Amino acid sequence: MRDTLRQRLGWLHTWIGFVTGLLLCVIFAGGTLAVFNTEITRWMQPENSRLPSGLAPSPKALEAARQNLETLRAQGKQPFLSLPSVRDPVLRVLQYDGHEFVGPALDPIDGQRINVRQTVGGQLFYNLHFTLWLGRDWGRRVVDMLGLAMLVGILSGIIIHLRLLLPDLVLFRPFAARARAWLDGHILAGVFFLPFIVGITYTGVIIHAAAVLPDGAAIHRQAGPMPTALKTPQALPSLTPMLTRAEAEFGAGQIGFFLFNPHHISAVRADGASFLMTRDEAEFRYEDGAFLRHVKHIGATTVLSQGFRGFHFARWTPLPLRWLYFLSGLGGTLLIASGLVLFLMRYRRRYGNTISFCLAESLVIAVLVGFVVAALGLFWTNRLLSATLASRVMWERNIFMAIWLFSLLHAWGLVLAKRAMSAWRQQLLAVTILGMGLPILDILTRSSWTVLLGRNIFCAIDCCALVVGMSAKAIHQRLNAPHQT
Amino acid sequence: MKEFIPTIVLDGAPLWAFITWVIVLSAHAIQQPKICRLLGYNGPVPSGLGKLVLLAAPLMSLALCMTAGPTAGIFYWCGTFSLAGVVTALGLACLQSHR
Repeated sequence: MRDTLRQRLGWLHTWIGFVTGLLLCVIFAGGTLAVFNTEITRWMQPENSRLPSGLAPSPKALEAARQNLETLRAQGKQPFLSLPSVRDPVLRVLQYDGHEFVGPALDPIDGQRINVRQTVGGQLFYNLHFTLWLGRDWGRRVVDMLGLAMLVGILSGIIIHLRLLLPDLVLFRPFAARARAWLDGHILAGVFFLPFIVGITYTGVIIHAAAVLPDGAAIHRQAGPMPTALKTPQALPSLTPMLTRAEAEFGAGQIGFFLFNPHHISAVRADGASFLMTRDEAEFRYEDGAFLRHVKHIGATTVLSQGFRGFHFARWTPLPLRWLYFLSGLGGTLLIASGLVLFLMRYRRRYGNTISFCLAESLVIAVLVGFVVAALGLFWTNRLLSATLASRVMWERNIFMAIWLFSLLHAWGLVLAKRAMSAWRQQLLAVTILGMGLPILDILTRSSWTVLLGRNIFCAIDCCALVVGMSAKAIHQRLNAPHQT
Repeated sequence: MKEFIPTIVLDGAPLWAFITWVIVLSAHAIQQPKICRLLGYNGPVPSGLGKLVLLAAPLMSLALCMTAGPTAGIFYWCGTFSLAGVVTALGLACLQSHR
């Protein structure tokens, strides 16, 4: 009876894992990179690398930001103002362009516009993570459904492996037969990152649960900070007294951004202020900037929802914990990736010559290796494209997509020509070159690299790229070994 | 409570938790016949008081992590468990390959 249950669950785990795993792998990889989305954006804007972190905005800078905001509002746009934080030291006047939040960065001391290049930055991975670029409504629906499938996959995986969970807890045999080594890796990642994977998937599903409920997407849209455009935008009062008043409510340095709603201005509590992502706000009048009220979101359900958001978005985390989130996300990505590889291994002998298997293998190559090539390609594109290029954000986004699409076509062509291993090898070689070359590119294209050498985000991202490149090289060498063909 | 704990322990609470987890998981590994066979390990295994210490060690590391705050503490504790598990497994795999 028990074996029958395990066999049936095995079938469910295999198929639900593969069908949803391709997209789940992208979602997990995107989310993992989005843990450091602000830092990635900073890497992609090396012009502001000299600014120290954690400076409070001066009255002069806030006045300059106000003028920028008024100019954009007069053009019929709906900007908001992001205040400096420890992670991002500049004032940003942002607006949503349909895909990313873009806009100028201002020096928090004198309000001068920092001549930073426009970039998709880490926001690209963040959007990919929670909408798969399918639009706000459909994207959330699809990602939420995939999250539910992930929970089913996790549950079935736990039941299948339950008997050997404790005895084989730390068992990993990378030098055994390939299928055994991959299965050990799959189980290892699944077991040790289980608390994180279950937690992050569950909270992700719950946060956007409304998207899959009847009329839920519409509710989501109404609840979001998307005010309708005003025909004649009102003049903005001085921001400094409002910030001072809001800080009196929430504490110094605890304000994240200013929103300009149709009927009032909101100074919103920073997401990183505490574990609970409260989005409490202080509201002010447009006419004179007078304080209207303090909006606190309270109640058991609300607090629970804030806790889910705090867990998932991780904006409250100190740096070491942020790295643990990153590594755990990587663990989740490896879990799904190893599952996809195991699927191919299992069915290669019987169905290896069929078109459907070729399609499956090329999709796996494009997701596992092609995504990394495209992500590293984005970093290269960011530095190689002219900093003053018009529609730069669009160029970066399109080049990222083009590289990824090319990776899929490259894999598809070689797999159809019965040269699947060549597809793996060539794309791994691309990862090796792009990853190991990124630190050199960074040094060559960033004037201040000698000043900031040491503990900084540039160094961290370069080191990560180097590790990715070296890992790809190691896998490439292993695939090149004679018995692996 | 915090003032009685040396600064080096407090500041490095996640690191200590990580080290504790590695020790506990390694001790767990050498109690498994399959892993002992792979490693060729015939040495002593924890028993009696040793097992009790191994059970208590994660609780001690949890208490240590809690000094970073209750919420962050839980996250550190779980995160270091995951990381320590992978590091222990990789370490044991290296030992296997040497053998």
